[in-house]
Amino acid sequence: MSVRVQDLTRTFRKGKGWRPKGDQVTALDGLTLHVPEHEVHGLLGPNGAGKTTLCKILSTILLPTSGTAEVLGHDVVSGAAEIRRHVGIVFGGERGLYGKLTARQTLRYWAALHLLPDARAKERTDALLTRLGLADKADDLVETFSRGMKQRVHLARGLIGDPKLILFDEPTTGMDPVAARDFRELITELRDEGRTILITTHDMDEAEEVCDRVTLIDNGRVLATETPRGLAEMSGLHRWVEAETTLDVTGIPGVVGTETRNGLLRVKTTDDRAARAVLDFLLDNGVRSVHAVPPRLEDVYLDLIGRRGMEV
Amino acid sequence: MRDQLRVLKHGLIASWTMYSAYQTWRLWTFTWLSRLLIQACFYALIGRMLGSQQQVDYLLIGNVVAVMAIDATVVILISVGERQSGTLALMVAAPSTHLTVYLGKGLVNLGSGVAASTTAFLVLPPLFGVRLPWPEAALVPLMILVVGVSCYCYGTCVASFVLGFPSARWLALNVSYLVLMTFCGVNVPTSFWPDWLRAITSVLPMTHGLAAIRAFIAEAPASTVLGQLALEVCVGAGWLAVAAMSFTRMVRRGRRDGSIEFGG
Repeated sequence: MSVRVQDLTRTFRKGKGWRPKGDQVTALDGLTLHVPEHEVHGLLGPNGAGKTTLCKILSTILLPTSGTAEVLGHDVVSGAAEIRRHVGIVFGGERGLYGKLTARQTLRYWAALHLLPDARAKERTDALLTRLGLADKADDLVETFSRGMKQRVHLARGLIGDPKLILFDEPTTGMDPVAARDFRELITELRDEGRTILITTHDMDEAEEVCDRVTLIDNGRVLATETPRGLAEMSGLHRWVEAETTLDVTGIPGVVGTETRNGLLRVKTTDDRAARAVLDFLLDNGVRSVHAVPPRLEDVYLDLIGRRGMEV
Repeated sequence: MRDQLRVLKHGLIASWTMYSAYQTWRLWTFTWLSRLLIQACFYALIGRMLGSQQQVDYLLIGNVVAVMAIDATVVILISVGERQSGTLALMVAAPSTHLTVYLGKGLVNLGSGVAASTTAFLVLPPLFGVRLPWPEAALVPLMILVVGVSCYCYGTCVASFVLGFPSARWLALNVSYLVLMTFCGVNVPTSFWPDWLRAITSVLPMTHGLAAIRAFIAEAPASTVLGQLALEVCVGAGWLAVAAMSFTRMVRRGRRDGSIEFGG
């Protein structure tokens, strides 16, 4: 097991200074999560749900208030030094980089901080620069890079220590669609190399595409952990059937509503059985352009967490 | 140990790269170095106003060594810079020792300070009629280096505290430097201070190193010079030990109170 979190609680006191005296805030509230090796695991939830707090605890920069968290078999409190050798951190945005260093210098610097011998550091630096498409710009200052390229430097930095577990905290923030697609491919490659990946994101499409399993978190608690598809199946949300037809299907049992957009009939049904009945009816009546649409992860997210998840 | 030396080396390379992006040798010479030289001249001129060559000698040598302390304590700002650039969390989450990283990244400033102080030592004494025992005086830059390292350890220690209070960084830098300027025998002999204050100055950097340099220039016995230098080394080592403990403590506190942020 790469990550084993049991009844993890983290509270903060609001306010600034040596001893803040504000109200106590619970960021994690008895959270339990198990992530096996070689899994891409998504953490989904609204802002303030506790995703980043969990990542900070797993990366050993924050202590839990109670409960236990183990990373690669080491406790985050007593085994922090061992964990740090095997965990990489990647966060989105432009912070966390030195603008006046080149991409190569950045990687060599962080390689030293990850205690890589010089020969190994050079080898990994060259390999990562090539892999992430930075070889041509390796000796350019990071401050001259586009946002997408800076994100690639972040990725390379996170991978320089050859980590077994990589924590991605909203890594595609600010990426253009092409860079985001490349990033998703990279995640799959990293998983195939035997690494475990924990990724926090607001991007449901991204989570659905790259994650083997996702955990929905809200108010510091786990709402559900499942595969993206399994979560949708479990959710009991309505199934939709779409077809190019003008036929009336409202009399079929299980149909709860219909709507027509641009000649496309969308039929809302209560469950799979009702969706099947609608499909059969349409096919029997000669409709050929027809398909059932399962609920998407975003639908499940909105159903479980509500639209406040989109609030910033 | 080799790992830590490598961290030190790459910290130095990274900080030199960043430093040289802002600082050229011309800029350093005509802004930074000249500012430090003028400061030393200012105090030497006070000695001249007092009408005593002995005062000129005392003030000039004191300030020639003291200008190095400004650079050596700039490491205080570097600690906050890591927080501002969002690299502090990455640094804490890396397996290397935090103190080594900071020490490596401030070495450029230590080098700048020693270079400025050495230049001042070579250029200013002839202008103010301060006689030096050449060729033995060529050893003084080495003593300045010892004092610089000691001041650097002191600055690193203060930096470890400032890590928890980033808004106090400029105050901490100025107070740290001014404490050395005021109490360590730069302008006023330590014998001027009451016993309790003199006891404090004996554990501050520069006090013994500066005394060693003054004794060396006055051609005092080697045992006196070496004894003071040994004390300076001990003081530096003491500050380094406190810095190591303090860094560990500040990181532990940051982990406890959540003040180490991802990306900031």
